[in-house]
Amino acid sequence: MDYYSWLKAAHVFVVFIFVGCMILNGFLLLCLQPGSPQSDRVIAFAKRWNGPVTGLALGFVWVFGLTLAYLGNWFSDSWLSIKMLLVLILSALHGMQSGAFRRMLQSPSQPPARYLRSSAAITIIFLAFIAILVIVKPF
Amino acid sequence: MPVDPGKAEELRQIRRLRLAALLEATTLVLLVFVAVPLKHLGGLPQATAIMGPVHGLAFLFYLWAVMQAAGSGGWPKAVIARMVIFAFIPLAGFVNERLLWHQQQRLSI
Repeated sequence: MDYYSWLKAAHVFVVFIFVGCMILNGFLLLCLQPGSPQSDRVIAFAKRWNGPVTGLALGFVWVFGLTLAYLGNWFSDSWLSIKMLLVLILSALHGMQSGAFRRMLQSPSQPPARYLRSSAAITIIFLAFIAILVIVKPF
Repeated sequence: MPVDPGKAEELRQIRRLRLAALLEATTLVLLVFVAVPLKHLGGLPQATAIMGPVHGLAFLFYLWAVMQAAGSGGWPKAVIARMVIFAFIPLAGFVNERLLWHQQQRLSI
């Protein structure tokens, strides 16, 4: 049985979930106006969703990704180091998104920071670079 | 007595941060003071091959928890910077955990 391919499939699967949720988070942070009951209900749901779904997907992204890098002996390649740095920044950005939902519920008058309102775009741009690094392996 | 949901949420966040800080600090100590000497002095490269990724994942969890605190507001930038910088210094992570414990005690009163 080709475990490497199965692991790669699992990695891609959790990456889809993580990235999809991050883009959705960014969209919600951009569009929602906290303070109204409807918005607060969506924010509360997004906050709950972020822990067990997006957070768990993020954890598995790293576990599967690091295992793939170990099995494939990729650690010495520069493209992987740059990719890991980009994913590290995305992980930190997800932490900030998650915190921003909490803040929106507690202090509706304070809008999310500008970079968080652009986090969907940041995620998409990072994803483009990651795709190039993984598929083209330019370094 | 009803518990203020905002305060309860803040306490949960500090508890999560403390757990993450403790995990990060412990795995860094094990990596630097146990696994690395075992590799170089004891000829056991498996020690770092195991502890490296374990510490990496603990560091990620910690970084995520710190960034969540930063995103939720109410944390001075200097405190966030200290929490990140201390994570790179062996044993300093335990200082982070103690400072967070004091913060938790103050909030619990």
